[in-house]
Amino acid sequence: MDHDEKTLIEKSQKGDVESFEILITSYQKTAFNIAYRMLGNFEDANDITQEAFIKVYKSIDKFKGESSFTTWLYAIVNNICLDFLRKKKKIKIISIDKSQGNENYQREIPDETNTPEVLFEKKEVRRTVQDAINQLKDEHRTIIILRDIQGFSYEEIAEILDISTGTVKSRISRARRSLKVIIGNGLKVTTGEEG
Amino acid sequence: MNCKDFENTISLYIDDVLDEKEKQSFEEHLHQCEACREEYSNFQILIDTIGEIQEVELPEDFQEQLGQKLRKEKANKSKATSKWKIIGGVAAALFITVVSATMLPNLSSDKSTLESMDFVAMDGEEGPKLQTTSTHDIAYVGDEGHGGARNFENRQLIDESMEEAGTIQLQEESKEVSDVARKIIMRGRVAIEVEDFDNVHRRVIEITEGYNGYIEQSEIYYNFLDQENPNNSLRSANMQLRIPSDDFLDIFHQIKYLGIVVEENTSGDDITRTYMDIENQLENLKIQEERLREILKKAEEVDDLLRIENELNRIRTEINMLTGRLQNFDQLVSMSTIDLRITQVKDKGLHIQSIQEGLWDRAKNNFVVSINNMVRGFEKVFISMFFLLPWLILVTFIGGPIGYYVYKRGWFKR
Repeated sequence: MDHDEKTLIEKSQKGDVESFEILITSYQKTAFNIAYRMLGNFEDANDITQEAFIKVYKSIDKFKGESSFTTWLYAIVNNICLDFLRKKKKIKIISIDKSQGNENYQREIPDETNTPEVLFEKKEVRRTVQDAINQLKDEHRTIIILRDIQGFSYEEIAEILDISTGTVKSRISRARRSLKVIIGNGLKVTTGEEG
Repeated sequence: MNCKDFENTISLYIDDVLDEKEKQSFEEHLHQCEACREEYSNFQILIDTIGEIQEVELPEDFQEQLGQKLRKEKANKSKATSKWKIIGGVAAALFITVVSATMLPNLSSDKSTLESMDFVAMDGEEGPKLQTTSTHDIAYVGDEGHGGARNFENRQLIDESMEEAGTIQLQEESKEVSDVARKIIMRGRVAIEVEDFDNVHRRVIEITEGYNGYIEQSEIYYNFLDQENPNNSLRSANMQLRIPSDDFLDIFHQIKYLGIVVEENTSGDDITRTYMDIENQLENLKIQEERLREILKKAEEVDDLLRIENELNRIRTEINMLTGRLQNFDQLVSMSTIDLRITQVKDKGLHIQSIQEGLWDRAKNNFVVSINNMVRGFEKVFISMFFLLPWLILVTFIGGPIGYYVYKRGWFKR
C-alpha cells in the first residue's frame, strides 16, 4: 500500500490526474467531513474540500515525503478551512463575536457544581453537542474534530497542525472543557436552572 | 492530586496518554473525590457523544466536479509553464541584446565600428590585434612623452632577465608591441556633397580650429560657373586638415554630418614596430657613443684619438638622424590628416536621403541611449538589492517573529 502510494505520488507530481484521483480516493470522505464540521454547512464544505484538493494537486511537487501524505493533505484542508473562516469572520465580525465569547466561559470552568449526568442522556443531546462544537473557537473546534470525531492520534494531530504533542495535549484538554461549559450553559439557559 | 489538577488531566486520562505515575495518582483521586468522579463521567459521556457523531457522505457529484477542476488545473499548469517558457525566452533574448549592446562600445558612434575594422585591415602584419586599434590607443599616441617613458618602463620589466650590456633583442618586440602604446598615423579621406557651400566651408574651418588643428592646404574652385546668375554656380573645395589624433574620430564624424557623404575612407598606418626599431637603434648607438667616449679618455696616441673621434662623429650623426626621424614620427602620430573634398550640389533628391539618414541615426542613437539607461537601471537595482540585503535579513529575523506575534495577539483579542 505504502509503495503504491509512493508511486502514485510520483506520478501525480508529474501531473498525472488519474493517479492523483486514485491517490486521494480514500481521503476524500475524511477531508470532506473535517471541512463540514469546521464550516457547518454542506455547500461551503463542498467548495472548500475541492479547493483543498486542487491545492494539494498544485503543490504536490513540494511534497517531499518528510511527513506522511495523509497528515500533509489534512493540514492543507484544515488551513484552507481556517482561511475561509477568517475571511468570513471579517465580513460579519460582530455577530460571530457575540456568539463566541469563549473567554468568559473559560473563566467559569472551576464551577464544579454544574455537572448533571442526566443532561447527556437525551436524544437531543447529540444535536446540542454539535451546536456546541460549532460555537467553539476555531482552534478548539479543529482539535475536537480531529481528535474526537475523526479519531486521529495525538502525534498525527501534532503533524497536521504543525504543533508539539505537548501543545496538542493541553489544547485538547482546554477544548473539551470549553465544550462542556458551552453545553452546560446552553442547557442552563433552556432549563432555567442555576448552578 | 487536587481537584484542579484532576480536571486538567481528565482529558488525557480518557485518551490514555498519561504515564504510569500520573495515571495512578489520577485514579487515586478518582476514588476519593465524588465531585470529580461525576466530572469525569460527564467528560466521558461528552467524548463518547462526540464520537457517535456520524460521518456525512460526500456530495454525489463531488468526484465528478473535482475531476473536472483537476483537469482544468492540469491544462492551466502546462499552459502556465509554456507561458513561462515564452516569457523566459523573451527575457533571454532581451538580455542578450542588452549585453551585446554594451559589449559593442562603438555602436553609439555611428559607423566607427566599420572604421576600426578598416584600420586593422590597413595595418597588414599587425592584423590580429584588432582590439588594440581603438580610440583608446589613439589617445595614448597623443602624449608621446609619457608614451615613450612607458615604453622603457615596460621594456625594463619584461626584459630584466634578457637585458645584456644594454642591447635590446629584436625578437622580444613582437610581444611588446601589444603591451606598449601603439604608434599609428591616422589618415582619413572624406568627400561630401553640400548645398550651402559657404556655410559648410566655414564650419570646417571652425571645427578644425576649435580642436587646435590647422588647415594645411585648401583650394576652392568652380565646378560650374554661371556668369549671368552667379548664385547658380557650383563650387568645390579640396582641403587637407591637420588635427590632433585624439580628436580624429570626433572631427571626422562632425565633418561627415555637414553634408552627404559620397566617399569616405580612414586608414591607420601602424608604425609601432618601425618606431621601436629606431628607438632601439638609437639606444644602442647611445651606448656605443658612451663606450667610445670612455675609450677616448683612455686613448693616448693621436692616431687612435682621431679614429675614435671619427667614429664618434659618425655615431652622433646617426643619432641625430634617428632622433629626427622619431620626432617626425611623433609629429605624424600626434596630428592626423583628413583629406576633405566638398562638392556643391543642387539636387533635392539627395536632400531627402539625408533626412532619412539622419532620422535613422537619431533613432539608433535613441535606441542605444535607452538601452544604456536600462543597463544602468538594472545595475542600480542589482546594487541596491545587495545594499538592502543585510536590512532585509535583519527585518526578517527580528521583525518577522515580532510581527507574527503581534498579529496573533491581535487575532485573539478579536
